[in-house]
Amino acid sequence: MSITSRHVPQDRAAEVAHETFVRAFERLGTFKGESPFVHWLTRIALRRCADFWRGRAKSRETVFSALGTGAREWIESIPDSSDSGLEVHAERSEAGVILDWAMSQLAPDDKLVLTMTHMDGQALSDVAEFMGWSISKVKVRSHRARRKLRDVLGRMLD
Amino acid sequence: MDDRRLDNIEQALLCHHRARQSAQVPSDFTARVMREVRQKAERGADFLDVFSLVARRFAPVGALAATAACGYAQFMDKVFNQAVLSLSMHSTAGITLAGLMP
Repeated sequence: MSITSRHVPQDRAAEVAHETFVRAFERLGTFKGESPFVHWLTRIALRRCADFWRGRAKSRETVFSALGTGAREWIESIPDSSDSGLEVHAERSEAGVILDWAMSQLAPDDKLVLTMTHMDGQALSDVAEFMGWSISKVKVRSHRARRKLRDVLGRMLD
Repeated sequence: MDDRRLDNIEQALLCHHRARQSAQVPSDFTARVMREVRQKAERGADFLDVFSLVARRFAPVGALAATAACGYAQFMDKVFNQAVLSLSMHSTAGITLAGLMP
């Protein structure tokens, strides 16, 4: 549940976690014991999260202005100088709305890898194992995903 | 594009993500998962029941049909070989073998 909470919107986390456990039951025969059970379950959960975003590909077409005036005000309230009081802005609910929207503009795999590496600070080797990628691929994809996120945020400022 | 502002927005969003609490597990979460898993298991068992019932019911017919098909194939193979051999022996070997043999 903690995994799905970090990768899909809060109100859908339980649903994706439910699908994860049902899928795990169906695929239990494929668990070979080569890696810890929790890693195997995590991989299934991440695939379910990616599937969730693939199913909501149309939400990527949502424009920023559709988020309402609250989001625009939040953006404008962010200072353009070095500021140590960002926590106050981060606590506001608009930050969550904008974060979900910005992340939804990324491809599912980009979103997963960016969340795990840049946002959650997980070890590259763990991310590589969960995604079934090499460490160098994780580095490259994470870097590109972060750049894409900044592009999305940059367009929002324009 | 204002890079400092962009950095601040990114930083604020990052802080927000890190401060996010994990979603609460619904009280009936386990029960719902188990109910679905049980239904799936029952569906699997239902399929096996029907399959074994049909297999038992039609086993004699299937065995008879398989024996007949096998016998027919062997018989036809024998007839075919005899025909090839017979035509070969009547000096049309070239045409026959070239036309009939794979």
